[in-house]
Amino acid sequence: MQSEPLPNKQTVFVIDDDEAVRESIAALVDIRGMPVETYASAEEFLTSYSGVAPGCVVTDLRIEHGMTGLELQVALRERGCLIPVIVISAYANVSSAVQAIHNGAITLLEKNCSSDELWKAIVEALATDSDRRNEHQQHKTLLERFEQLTPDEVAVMDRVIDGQLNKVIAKDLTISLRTVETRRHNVLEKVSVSTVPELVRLYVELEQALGQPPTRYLMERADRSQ
Amino acid sequence: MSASSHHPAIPRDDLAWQLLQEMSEAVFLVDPESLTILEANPSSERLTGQSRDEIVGRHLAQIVSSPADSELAELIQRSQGETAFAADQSCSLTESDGRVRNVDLSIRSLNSEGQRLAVITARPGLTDLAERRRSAQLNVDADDSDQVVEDVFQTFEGFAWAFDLKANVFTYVSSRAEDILGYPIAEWINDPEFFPRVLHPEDRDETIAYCAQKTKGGFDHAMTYRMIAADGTIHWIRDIVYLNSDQDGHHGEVTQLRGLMVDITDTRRLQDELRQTEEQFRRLFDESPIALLELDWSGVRDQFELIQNSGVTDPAAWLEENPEETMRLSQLTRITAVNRGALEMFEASSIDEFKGNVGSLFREDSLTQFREHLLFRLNGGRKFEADNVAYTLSGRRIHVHISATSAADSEQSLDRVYASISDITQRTHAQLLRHGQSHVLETLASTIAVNSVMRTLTAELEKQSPYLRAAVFRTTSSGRALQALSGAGTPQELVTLIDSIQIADLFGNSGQYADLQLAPIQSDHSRDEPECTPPAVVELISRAIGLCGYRHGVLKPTIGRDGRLLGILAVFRRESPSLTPHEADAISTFSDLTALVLEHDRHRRALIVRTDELQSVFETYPDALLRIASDGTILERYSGNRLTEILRLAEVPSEQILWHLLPRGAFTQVRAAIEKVKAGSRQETVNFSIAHDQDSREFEARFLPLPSSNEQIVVLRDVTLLKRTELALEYASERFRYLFDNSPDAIFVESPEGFVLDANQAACKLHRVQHEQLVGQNVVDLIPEDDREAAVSRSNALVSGEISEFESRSLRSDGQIIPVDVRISTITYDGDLAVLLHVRDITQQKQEEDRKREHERQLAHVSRLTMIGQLVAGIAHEIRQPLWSISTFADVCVETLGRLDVEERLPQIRDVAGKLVVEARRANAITTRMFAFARKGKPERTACDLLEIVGDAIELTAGRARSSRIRTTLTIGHDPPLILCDRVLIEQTLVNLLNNAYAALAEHPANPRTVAVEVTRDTEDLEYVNVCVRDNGPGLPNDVIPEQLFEGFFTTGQTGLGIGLALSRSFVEDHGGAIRAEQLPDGGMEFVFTLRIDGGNHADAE
Repeated sequence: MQSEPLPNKQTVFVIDDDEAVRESIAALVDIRGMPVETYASAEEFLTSYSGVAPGCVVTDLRIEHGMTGLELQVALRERGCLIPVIVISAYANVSSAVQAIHNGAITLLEKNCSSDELWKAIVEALATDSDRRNEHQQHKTLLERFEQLTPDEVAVMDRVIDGQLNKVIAKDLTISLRTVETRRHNVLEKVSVSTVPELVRLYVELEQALGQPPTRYLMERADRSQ
Repeated sequence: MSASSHHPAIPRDDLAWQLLQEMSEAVFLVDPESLTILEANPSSERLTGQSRDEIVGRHLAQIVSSPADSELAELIQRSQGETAFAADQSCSLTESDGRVRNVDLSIRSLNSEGQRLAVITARPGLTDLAERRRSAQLNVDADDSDQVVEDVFQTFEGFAWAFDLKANVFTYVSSRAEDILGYPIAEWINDPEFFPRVLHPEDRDETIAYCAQKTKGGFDHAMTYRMIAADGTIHWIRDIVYLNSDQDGHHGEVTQLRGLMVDITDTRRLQDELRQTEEQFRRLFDESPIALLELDWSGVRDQFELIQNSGVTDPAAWLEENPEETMRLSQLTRITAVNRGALEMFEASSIDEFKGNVGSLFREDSLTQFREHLLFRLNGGRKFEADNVAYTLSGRRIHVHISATSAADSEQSLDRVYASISDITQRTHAQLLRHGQSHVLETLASTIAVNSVMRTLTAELEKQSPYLRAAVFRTTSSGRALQALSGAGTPQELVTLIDSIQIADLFGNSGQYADLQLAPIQSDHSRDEPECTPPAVVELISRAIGLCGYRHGVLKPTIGRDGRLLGILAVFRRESPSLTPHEADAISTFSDLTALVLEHDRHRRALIVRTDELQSVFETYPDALLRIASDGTILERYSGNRLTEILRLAEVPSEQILWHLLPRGAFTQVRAAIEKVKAGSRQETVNFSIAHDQDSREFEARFLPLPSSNEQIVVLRDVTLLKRTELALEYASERFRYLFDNSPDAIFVESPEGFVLDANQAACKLHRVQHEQLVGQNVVDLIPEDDREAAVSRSNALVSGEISEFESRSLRSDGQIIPVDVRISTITYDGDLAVLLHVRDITQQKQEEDRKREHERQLAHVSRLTMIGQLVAGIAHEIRQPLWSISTFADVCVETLGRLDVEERLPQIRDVAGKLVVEARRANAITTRMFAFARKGKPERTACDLLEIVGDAIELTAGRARSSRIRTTLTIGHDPPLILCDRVLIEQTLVNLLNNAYAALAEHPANPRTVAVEVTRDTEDLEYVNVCVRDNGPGLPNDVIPEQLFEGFFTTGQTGLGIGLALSRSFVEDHGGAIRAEQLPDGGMEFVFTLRIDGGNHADAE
């Protein structure tokens, strides 16, 4: 998880071994008022890219030497970079298109597209980049709230979300009904919600962001900290 | 002993004393009382053979042996009484060696200062008249005998000699030497350095050393060497040397050599000419670019006769039914000679490899034509021509054109059949190929699968050899060489000695010719006159000749040993001033005879000695010399011991009649010859042969008249060797002429100066002119004007032997220019160095080549179009990049121009627009390159930058390389070379190699995939540049060898026609280069082709 502050200015990174292609894209981006950087190979880009700078990547599918556009996508994902990738190709074929999309490319463009199509793709990618960055921030705040819960409180929350009655929870956990009610109150307070349905909505939202039930995440975290 | 001291000496200053000394007669002064000799003069020393000191003081009787001394004393006494007494008395005089001489004595008395003396004068003499007459008769006989010997000797091309080993000089050389070698005899005799000087320098040391060695060992010997005659000509001499011991003492020590030098120049020349003609024939046979075989069909003929005798009526049908018999007959066709061309054609290193017959050259598919040939030949046909199939010794199948002709004298025996064989494989293949190619092009055009057709076609392509060897010829010998035999090139003239004038008549009665004063006139007394010729006499006669209306004359004075003029021989004529050798010979012979006759008296004794010597030499002379009477009776035999057995010559010849010795056939001729000589002919010759020892010996009999008698001289010579040489020469000449005349190739014999000396029929046909027009023409006139300069510069290279074969063009008399192949060698022709040119019309070959090239060009174009189909995806990508950039740049420009801050952004617009233009050009270059490659260009060779071609090829295929992520590198080994080439074909070759490399790498996991292109100068031959294309792909499948790649229709992939590499090889070889493929040890393939670097001399191309 990244924890550095987000830079506010987005940049378009253009990677193509054909200088004219690079230069023409750069000129377009430049005239539309966006910062642009050009690279002749994927390796060159990876060396200079911090991994957190906002913006989007426009890469050729087949770069003559070194990594291909697809390989670059994989490398970025492995490094946890969220930056969106636009793949352009002179030889689009179905298999490489599928592969590009699967790897999370925002758009696949052929090298006969118009400047506007390309620009539209860049704008969308930049928007996606900001959205992703915002979403990432919200989830981070929500998780912090859930992380205040003690393991006992997490166990109660797990059952409350499951819809169990307080006495059933007390019996299961062999604690008093009174204790159940206290812990239930603490959960709602720490997560800053007033009703259980509200808690369930946030829980599901976090589950989606984490890719796993938050309860398990929190339990495992508690185990690790012990 | 010395009595002179007892007597008063005769005063020596006396006039009488002086006279005494000078007198030619022997004079003795004798004391009349005691008969003691008081004094003797020098002549008396000569007469008695004793010195004065020995004579003086002796008793007269000791000198004069007869009459008895009393009688002599009485005579002397008588003379004392009478003052005028003179008694002539025949006496005998004893010489110191005891021999007795007859002398005439004359006795007178003399009173000298009171002393009485008897003066006795002695003269050699005869005692009486009768004896004198008898003696005179004897002399005449002796003269005749000497004359005969001399006459006989004149018929030889040789002369006798004697050499004194102590004094190291010749003591005797017969006068014939002067005729033969031209040096005066005096030079032989007087000059010890003479012999070494006239010996040919190359033979000198060896000859002298050999003679010295043999002499030392005590062996008679014979030598052959060359001598240089006075006129500078070289004579071959056979010298037979006999050792002669001094019998008087020194215990048989060899003191003298005797011998006979025989001029064998003619024989030698004949042998030399034979050698030359043989050599000419050999050259023509061996050096001919055409395969020639000399075959002996006699075995086939014999075998076939057996077959026919066994009841076969229809040989043609029989042979067809029995192919194995045909094969057997082919094995009976013996090969007796082959030339180099034949060895090359049949891939043999020597004639032995043929195993003696043509059987190994034929297989089943050759037999049909052989059978035709066989039937033709056996039916008496002479010249046979056909196309057939033959096999080289390594088993290669070749198409051949056979032309076979039996030699002129062997139509029946068939033992000499000349076969000339040309390799028409390429032509045959080319024809097949042409049909095949047309078909392929049609089918390609209609997009039907053509592989099966093309496979056949390629098989034929493969078989093509790089050049054609063809044609056939035969020649026989030259008639000219034979002609030269008869006179060494000098035309025979009729000798015209028109008239003769008595020399004495010219001088009137006075005889005082020395007083006549005449102005010198021009006369032609060219031949070796002695310097002591009295000029006044010569001039006088010359003038007389002139007055008689003769323009040219030869005067031959005969000079005695003491320098006195003995006589003059004059020969004069109206025509040409130069004498024929026969005339000169006759003149000198006559001159010598005159000298002999005139000098005879003085040298009679010497002559007798010489006659003995001659006789002894004649004994050893190989030819038989006979003196015969006009009825054929043999009177005397002088020589010819060696021939006695063959000729059955009797030891005592006088019993024999000449024609009894000779074969019956010669009888009439011999009689006729004798009759003709009798009737005045100077010489008659008869040839005949005698069987001896199972051998036939050839003889020549020459009949010569003996002057002033009815007798004749016969010289019988064994000329077997000479005749055989002549025959062999004729045979060799005939063979040369035969090859020459019958060759289908034009053959020229050319002088070093470039004039045509001879040409054969084919040459006349080639140039469309008559033989006589061609001979004598300058070779330059037979070459088209445009080529003459090149021909001249080429001739230097020819002279230095750098080239012997080249392609050229000939100019026909009708102005048409025809392409020809020329092959050159040198021969000896009529004794001089000459150039032998084989010229072959290659029009048809050229046309075939042109057609082949044209078809190949079409094929190349189709192939290029196919390649472009393979490359088109890549090219599309290549072109899309700049086009996309262009549109993007254009959008940016448009948008910027619409901005409010357009003024500030102008530099940016300029920058973008500049880039746009660059990209537009780039796109244009790609399409231009592609269209240039696809174009169906005309074949033309220009000087091109190889790197540009390589660069274009790489660019053209770049898209394909990129799509497969293949890295292509280019390495240049040296300065960019210019090559003379058909640019598009070389580019096609490269594109093909690159395309193949990319195809091989496309599915190969190698990382990185690379193709390396290298251009380097050949390390061995700096004239060439190597272009190498190397990939790191999978290489070839295991079952494929690299050489197979260049066969047509070989493909490992599924795309393409599979003719790319076959075409590539054809292109490269057409440019004089070579291409090869190699499988690299760690996978991958390497293709290397070579090209000749352009030296700037464009005329050499094509």
